[in-house]
Amino acid sequence: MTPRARKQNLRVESVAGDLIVYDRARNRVHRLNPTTALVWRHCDGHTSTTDLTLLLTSELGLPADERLVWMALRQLDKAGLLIEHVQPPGEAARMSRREAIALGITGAVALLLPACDSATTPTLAGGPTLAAVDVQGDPCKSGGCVAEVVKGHCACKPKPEGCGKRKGESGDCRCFAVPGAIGCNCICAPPDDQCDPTITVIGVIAGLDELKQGTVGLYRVVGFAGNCGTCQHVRCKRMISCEWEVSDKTLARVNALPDCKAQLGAIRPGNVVLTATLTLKCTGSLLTCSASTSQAIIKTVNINV
Amino acid sequence: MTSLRQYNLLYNDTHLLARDLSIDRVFDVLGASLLEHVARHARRRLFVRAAVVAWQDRAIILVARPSAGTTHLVAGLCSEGARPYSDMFAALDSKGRVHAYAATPNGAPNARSDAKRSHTPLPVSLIVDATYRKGARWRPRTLGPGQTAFALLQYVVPGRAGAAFALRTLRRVAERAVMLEGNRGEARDMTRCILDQLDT
Repeated sequence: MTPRARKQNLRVESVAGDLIVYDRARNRVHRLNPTTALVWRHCDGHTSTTDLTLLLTSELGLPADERLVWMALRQLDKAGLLIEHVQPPGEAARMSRREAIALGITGAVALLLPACDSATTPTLAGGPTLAAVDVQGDPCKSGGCVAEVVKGHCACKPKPEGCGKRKGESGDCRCFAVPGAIGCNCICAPPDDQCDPTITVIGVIAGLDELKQGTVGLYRVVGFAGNCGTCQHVRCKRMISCEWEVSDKTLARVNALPDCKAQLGAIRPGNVVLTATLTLKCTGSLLTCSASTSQAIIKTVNINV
Repeated sequence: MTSLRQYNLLYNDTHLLARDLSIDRVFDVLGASLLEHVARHARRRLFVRAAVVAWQDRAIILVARPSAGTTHLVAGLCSEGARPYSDMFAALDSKGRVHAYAATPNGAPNARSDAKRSHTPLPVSLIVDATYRKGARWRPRTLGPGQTAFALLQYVVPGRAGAAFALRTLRRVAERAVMLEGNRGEARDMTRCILDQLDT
């Protein structure tokens, strides 16, 4: 038998004799101890299990017992790190760790018994996943809408025709990704005559398509007083938008929030119509946030990183 | 008209992140969301879900396992003189050093107090993965470097830097730091043990 190691879609790092293998296709990570790592490295389609046994003896001082090789190969097969499944020639080829210890493989040598730990891990590859799953590896459920994966999270595709009304409901129904749920949900806005004209909506819009070189994200916080967007006929009483960039050079913090919060917190029902734009931009090694209205700069805040 | 309640809603595109009567709680979610967003999009940092404190120019990483009671551990270490470096994430650079990131003793970001301290990147000396169990005694096992890298990988925030950067960075951390794993009782009973570990 000449087993072959799988190499595709794998990232491998050697750490003090262990091999850490990240499987991009399955979002799994494995730790191979030196023995299993040695076997895996030599699974080249030409090296037989007999040769592997001799290798374990010469390199690691393990007993010349082919069952140790099969122990490693079964672990590698289970981890999905071999191209083809392996089948030991018979029950005699199987050896449990307990049997290995009974053979006298104890102490420091016992630490060299083949070992392979495996775990699920979030996607490290940074690219699109192979299936519609979120970063935890769970599938995105549609919930009457159309789910897709956007930047590692389940999101809902807009459905222009709406997602349909449930029995007894009226008003506008839209697809939303609901926190805690995996995927979408069809949520219907209350009918117009039940609109709450005093709801404060804080919208955080990540304009990632507008990223500049070196920036991390763009957040725009928009505050409404008035049930704008869901109850169309209610006029916005007051609108404030706070907008700022964060740069990964500085790992900017959200210290500018208190300014936005103060503005939005001052909104009360029945306020006079007022439009103001609060723009906060933080870049460079020294974060400088300038807040401006449409007419003039009203405040500058320096924040040291 | 039916009686009304003033809900505050927080969206990320069409993703509803929070819906609460308290605007303070919604802003807390916004703050956490922004920190998470930076973690996922940083190119030159690897973010691990953990708290970090500094002790004598070395960093202690406290892995943020659910039910670990990390906040209590951080508070306990700070009461012994450690400096808070981060509440939510350990921000690691390519050399395996940890950078300060959004931390105060009470967990809220505070630029003004941070500005008065020097937050230079620190080498990681100790990593603690402790699960709180009432009445437990802190008798940790020491993980080898490979086990350390493997354990930390499960707490990594997927980011733009990619798998190769993540593995290289964790290797550098794992080769220099000691990782302790085990059950613990009250934080006050183990914080001195942790600091003594560093001093030996």
